[in-house]
Amino acid sequence: MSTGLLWLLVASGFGAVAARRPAVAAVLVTSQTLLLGAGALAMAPGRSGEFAVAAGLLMLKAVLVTAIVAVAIRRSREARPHADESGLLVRLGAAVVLVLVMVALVPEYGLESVAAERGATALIATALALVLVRRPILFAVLAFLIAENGIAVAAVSVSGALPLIVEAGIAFDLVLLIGVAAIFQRRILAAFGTTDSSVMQGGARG
Amino acid sequence: MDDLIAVLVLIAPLAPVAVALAVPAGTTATAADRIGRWGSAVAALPAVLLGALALIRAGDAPLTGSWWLVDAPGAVFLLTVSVVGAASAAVSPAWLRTNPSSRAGALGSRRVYWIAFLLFWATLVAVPLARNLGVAWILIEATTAASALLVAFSGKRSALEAGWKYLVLTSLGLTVALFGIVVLYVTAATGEASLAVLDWDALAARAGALEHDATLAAFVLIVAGLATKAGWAPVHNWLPDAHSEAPPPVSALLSAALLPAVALIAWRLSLALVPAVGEDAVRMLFGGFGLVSLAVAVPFLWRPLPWKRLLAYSSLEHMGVIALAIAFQHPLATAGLLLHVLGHGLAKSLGFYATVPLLRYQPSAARRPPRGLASLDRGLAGAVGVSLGTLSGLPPSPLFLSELLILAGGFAGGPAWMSALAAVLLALGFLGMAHVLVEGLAGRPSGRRPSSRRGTRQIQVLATVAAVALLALTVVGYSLPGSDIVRAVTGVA
Repeated sequence: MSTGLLWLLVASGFGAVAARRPAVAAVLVTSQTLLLGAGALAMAPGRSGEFAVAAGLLMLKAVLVTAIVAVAIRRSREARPHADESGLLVRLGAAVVLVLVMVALVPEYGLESVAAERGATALIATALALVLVRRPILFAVLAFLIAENGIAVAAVSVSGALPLIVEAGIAFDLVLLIGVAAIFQRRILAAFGTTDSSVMQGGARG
Repeated sequence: MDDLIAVLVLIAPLAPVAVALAVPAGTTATAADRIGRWGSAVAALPAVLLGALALIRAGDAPLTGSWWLVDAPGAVFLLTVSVVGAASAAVSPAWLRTNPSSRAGALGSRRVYWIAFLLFWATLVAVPLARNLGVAWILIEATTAASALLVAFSGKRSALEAGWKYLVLTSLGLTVALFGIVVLYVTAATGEASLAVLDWDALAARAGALEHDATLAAFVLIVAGLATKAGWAPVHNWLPDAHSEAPPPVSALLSAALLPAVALIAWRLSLALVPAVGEDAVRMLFGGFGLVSLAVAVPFLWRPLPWKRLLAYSSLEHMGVIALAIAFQHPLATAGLLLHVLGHGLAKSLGFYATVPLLRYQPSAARRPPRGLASLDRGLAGAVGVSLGTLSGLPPSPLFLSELLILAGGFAGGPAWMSALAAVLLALGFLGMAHVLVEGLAGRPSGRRPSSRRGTRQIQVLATVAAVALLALTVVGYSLPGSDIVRAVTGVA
């Protein structure tokens, strides 16, 4: 995977952390997913048949996830944006610190390039930052997607690729989870009148 | 026998799926309940038989197939999952009758419940059979979707919040674990893409030659990720809410089957990778999770918590005990671990099942600890007493013996300070639970007496069966150290 594409993927993750509106972040993250699928397909010529199938699966997963996220956003549109929980610089600063710490902590482990290793780790760290600093519940779904994209970057950069059965299982689980998360988002909006996760803090007390 | 086991491996997880497919054939809520309950009783048989056969041949080498593995420790977890699943299915109709979902008609909600429940259970049955880390991860992740829907089944705001929290936290945790699996795969792979790289036996065979730093990073990522799903503190935040809000039969399955099943995968990983990461890394990582879980749980066991929330924090405590047993890596601790999983599974599920009649006759138990049950209803008091007595570690319960074995294993093999600290925390936890037990049975009663014995007959039967099974476990537990089952794990008597 080219270094330029990796930078683009990481930048779209930071874009999602910076975006004020969930819909903008969703566009950035689903674009990231599609871009990754396209990048994997571009790498397929000259590789094993199993890699080509896995890359196709990644693209299919990206299309399905994009469709589910689009439907979820359309069905849970809110009248006004949530009050901003933290400033742009704080959000981005937290993400940068988390990325740097994680990249420093994870040793080299043998992917095709060090850039791919760092890119994968950076995407997973960005996802964790997104969960920590953003309140609308759609961001949790997007964080999950970014983290899965980080895994996918590592998976397509493995010499010989990951076994297809594992790729297929991961793709199936991801689509299922995003689907269930979309159901939750709608039900939460119906029950709470908002998808701002701060209204749920401490609500469950059995 | 080997051919029979190979067939049972396929049937055991597919049987609950078949029942799930049959549930829509029920044209009324009662019919759907009947299919779910009795179908589950039949569906549990292959898994129970498989578990029993695996224990009988514990002294032999494990049987393996392309994706599956049948061995003695897996059999203990398989038996726990299958028995708790069947018992939860048996209790479900009583809960469903009194708590119709607010989100659909009676029949529709019954179908959603049973299909989600049976798919969740089917996936759990497959987890102890997984021979491969990648397959195990896919199965664990697959439990999340169905179980999250079940946690939020009541449709209450608090249930939605609990279900959402569970979905997000465990999914993110499992993503971190998946990253660790990719790192481990890259470190262990030798050429062509092959699923077999992640087989437990292949990992163990190559562990000595793996690069230390990368393997250690992968190990930490995988265990930390799995910890979110296993409910180990400090990444346990979903657990108290999900256990409190889920329907009681689902809470039982979450606590008594899901958490230990995930712990089994972490345990298998540690056994495979010890030569690569070193005994100290395993000891510190699992010991850390164990001690922190105990330290977080114990103060809550002293607080006047609602019944289900108390059981949730008790789950945190007992998962901490299981983490410590993995950390100590001693045959005594291994014997204790296996006994603990079975004993905890029976006692904890009985406690959650008791919630169904408890909340009917003493609704205040949804907000406060139960009180004076002995003078309210002896059957219900018996169930709560057996459950709490066992969970607190009161002799002669099997958890008293298992905790003793684990601590002895810790003093014999692990750092003594870790065992000493665990012993103090367990003693404090015992005092908290014992207080709830005394108040719950003999305190000033509230609520209403059951108008007839019918309302508590089922829990009486379950409590009697559980009490006998728990005493039998205690007896069996004395012969566990040095047995073939423990030797199969540790290689030493």
